[in-house]
Amino acid sequence: MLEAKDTVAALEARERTKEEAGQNGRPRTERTDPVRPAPRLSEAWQHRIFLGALLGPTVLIVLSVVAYPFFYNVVLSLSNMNIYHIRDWDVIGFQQYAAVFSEPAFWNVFLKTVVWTAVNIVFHVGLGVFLAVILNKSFIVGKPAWRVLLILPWALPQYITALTWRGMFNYEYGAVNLLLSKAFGMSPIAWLTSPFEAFVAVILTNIWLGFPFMMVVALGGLQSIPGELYEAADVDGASEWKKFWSITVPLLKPVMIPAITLGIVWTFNNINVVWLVSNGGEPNDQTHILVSYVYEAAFQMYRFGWAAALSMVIFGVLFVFTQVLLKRTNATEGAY
Amino acid sequence: MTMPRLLLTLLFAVSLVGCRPDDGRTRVRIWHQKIGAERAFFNEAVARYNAAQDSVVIEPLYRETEELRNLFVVGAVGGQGPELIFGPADNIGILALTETIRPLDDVLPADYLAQFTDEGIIRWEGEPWMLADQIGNQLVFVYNKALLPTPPATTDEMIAALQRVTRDDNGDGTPDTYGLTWNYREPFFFIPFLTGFGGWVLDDEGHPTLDNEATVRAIRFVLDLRDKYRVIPGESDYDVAETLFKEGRAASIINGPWAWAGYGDSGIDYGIAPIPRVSETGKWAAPMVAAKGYSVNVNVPDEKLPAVRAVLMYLTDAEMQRQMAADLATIPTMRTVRDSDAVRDNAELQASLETVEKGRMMPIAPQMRQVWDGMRGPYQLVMNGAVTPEEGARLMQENVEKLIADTFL
Amino acid sequence: MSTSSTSTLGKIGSYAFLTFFVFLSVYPITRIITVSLRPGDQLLSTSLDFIPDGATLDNYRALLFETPFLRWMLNSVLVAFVVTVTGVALASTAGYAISRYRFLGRGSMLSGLLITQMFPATMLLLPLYVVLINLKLLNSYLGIIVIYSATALPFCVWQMKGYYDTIPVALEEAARIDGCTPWQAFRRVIFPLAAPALVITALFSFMTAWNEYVVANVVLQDTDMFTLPLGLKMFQGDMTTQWGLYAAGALLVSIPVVGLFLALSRYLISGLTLGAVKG
Repeated sequence: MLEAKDTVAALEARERTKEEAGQNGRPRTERTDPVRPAPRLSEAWQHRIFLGALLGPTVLIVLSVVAYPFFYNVVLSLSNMNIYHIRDWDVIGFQQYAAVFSEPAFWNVFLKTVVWTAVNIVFHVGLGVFLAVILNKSFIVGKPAWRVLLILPWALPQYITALTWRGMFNYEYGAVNLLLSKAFGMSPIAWLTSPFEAFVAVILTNIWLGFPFMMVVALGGLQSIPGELYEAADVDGASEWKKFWSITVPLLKPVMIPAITLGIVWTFNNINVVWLVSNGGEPNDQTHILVSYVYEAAFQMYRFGWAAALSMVIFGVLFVFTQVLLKRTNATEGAY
Repeated sequence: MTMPRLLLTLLFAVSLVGCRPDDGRTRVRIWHQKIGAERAFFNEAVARYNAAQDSVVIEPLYRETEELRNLFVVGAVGGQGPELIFGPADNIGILALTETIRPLDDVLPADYLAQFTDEGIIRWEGEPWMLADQIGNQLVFVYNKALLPTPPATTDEMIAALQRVTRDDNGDGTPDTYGLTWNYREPFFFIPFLTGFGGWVLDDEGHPTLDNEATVRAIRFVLDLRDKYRVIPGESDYDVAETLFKEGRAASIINGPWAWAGYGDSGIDYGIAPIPRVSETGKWAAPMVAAKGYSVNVNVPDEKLPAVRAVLMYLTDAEMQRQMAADLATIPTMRTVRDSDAVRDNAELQASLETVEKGRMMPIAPQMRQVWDGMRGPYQLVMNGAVTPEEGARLMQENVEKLIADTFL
Repeated sequence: MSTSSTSTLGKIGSYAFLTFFVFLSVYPITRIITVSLRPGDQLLSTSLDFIPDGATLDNYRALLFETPFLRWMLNSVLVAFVVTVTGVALASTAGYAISRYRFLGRGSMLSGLLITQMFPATMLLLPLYVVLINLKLLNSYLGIIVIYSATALPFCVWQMKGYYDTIPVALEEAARIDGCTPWQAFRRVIFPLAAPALVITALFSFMTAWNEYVVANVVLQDTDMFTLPLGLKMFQGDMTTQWGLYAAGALLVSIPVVGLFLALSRYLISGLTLGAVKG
């Protein structure tokens, strides 16, 4: 796909690079100078060392922290570790997985988790990008002030902001119902005592907590889009909307895709907000997402084997989903 | 290149910050969940001990109750963890089952243990596991003396008094002052009325006993308070209840000792009294009473036991309990202190003691966790009007049984 | 940046939208300020007054002078600083490698980084504790620094890679022609151009280290070594929370984050990249 910002010169340069790069992908730096033949072997090693230095520390740190716990959990998920077998547990095969899938609430909670994730991400990204675009406009004055005020939900510790929102959803005394009745004349909603409304309340809180992050990422991404493109579009008489969809969105993609993909993963696994706003699943354990089940099982019921199996299921779901998403957006490909 | 060097130096320096000079003293670490005034008192007592001798140093660390239990179990199973853990008695079932604590008679001499009241030594399956330095955690009837001068003795009196106090001053349909407010949607706060109507949560074998007439009548009672007599708010969780009472918008609240100091700070002239006797049955609405105390980590090596013993005795002996009773109004567990004049003359302590005597000890069984979690859902369904009290009681029983069965996989 | 092609209506609409969202963002925070000023540890209130009855700064005083709050803040600054520097250094280089070079396992590496984020953190606690005990990293900062870096890096590497993808290779090639080594081409030409992404990386790494408490809770066992989130947790009990202190602490804890954002945000808006390729 043609990168809009490439000039002809850059395009030609890129074509040359591609020809010479071949499968190795080494940049076009080796010159076959007939007077001094380039020592190809040591350059190849230099290149490998260079790559190793760039990538090595990252890979080392991430792998070392995640690998052991991951495999430990795989083993745990096949075991019967619980409070009665906390030291003398045995591997018992896939029984825990069977127990997870035969849990009556499982599919219901799974569906809820998917809805929770989807709604959150749509609003996080939508609001974040929209606010970033507005904040990027040249006619806005006082940009630093606007920016700072809008990232405050991200800056404060979640524990107290989530509980403050819980207070705001109170039926009689909460700010939300007071606002609804005074400004819109609506009757108060029983936010926290009805399953559907409680779910909505939790989602609203998380949207509040999450949009600043996407806004900041989008702001950064907007910087890579040349102003000249918008000017050219203006000359052609394009509307704001058209400019947004034809220029902004495609060029924001490389920067937003990591944030969105990881945002999906993090939201899926975000136990804090659901737990705090619904006070541990109220009403009647209806406000749960899969990961709060894991916590409950592991640290209140001490069913470690079962919790590990559920964690693996969550992992499996996310893995499959993101693989599909990455394929569709070609996100692991480079721009070149 | 300066960047990597800078980084390495930083990392090195920072990791060194974690090292502590080893001064050769035996370390006795205590993890606890004391908060507020109790924590301040404890830290002072520890500091005095550390300053008075130089062979043993006590290192206290605060952890919130749930994390305290979980991290202790994880640590102890891994062969580590603090030497002593201070927590509520209902931790004992979990800690004993996971074999993370050792019986007290390994550590303390029998004659020392004999000085404690029966509730002071928490036993489970025959072994003594925890040495309590206080019993309490009991829910009481706290009343705002300005709005409700004398506490009611029976539920009939209570309803009448609350109805007199509940007022809608500005005529908008919702009362501005409620007679009573409390976290009534939480099973723990429901227990007093359950016992008042003759019910209880578990039998001696650890099976739930929730599907019966007593439970249904108790649930009905709470519903009536809300729907028939309208003396409690429609939606009241812990923080809302606290808010209403602290703002003087509720004449009374049902809460425990951990909260009383906060009422004073908010300027309420409060009094405490036992939760009234249920008129229909003549039984007291007995709250659960729980002990809090120390247990010894199973991983403590034998060489360290003398130090641990000394610390334990310092923290629970008569002198310490006397001071706690005087400064914190906790109910002591040492016979001599409990029967002493100092305690008898302490009015607040006597009021608290009276409520404890009307209470009932919380079961230590590990199934209690499943009881709370199993009761909560159906109970709240009844509160929401989604099921009848009879159905609710039946669901509670089913839920708890299922949760207990699940834990056996 | 878009020029003044926006209609007046569009401008008014934009400001209105911004104002609405600022109100939404800020209102709950005013409630927290109120809690911090109120005596008696009360989280909620039936009144919507901003300044509560009996407002006092006592909570702030107690927090700053009677608790190790300042010590905790120093600890957090230390840890967060190292994590931020590590994050920026490692993510900028790794992201560059993935963006510019094709090598065996490149796609898997990106997927792999992503995968490390998918596992629910709750269950990682147990094995992590075991590992830390065996490596004797308990109660030291090295352990949590490594773990925080591992937590923040996947997103940062991805992010940097995405941003590098928008910078044309022609710039490095021009630098190479001028005689730079690959490292110099990166360091002098590309790295500065990636400023906005570096800001996001820095901010994200900082926030990860600043607000994290699950791992720190397991690792740090000495009150004087606590980071801020752990310190705040000391005011939290199972039945009762010291809301006054907690709210005051929460507000003070956010100030460095806001400060960092303010300091970095001028690099967030650069717009230097373009123009460089023209002609």
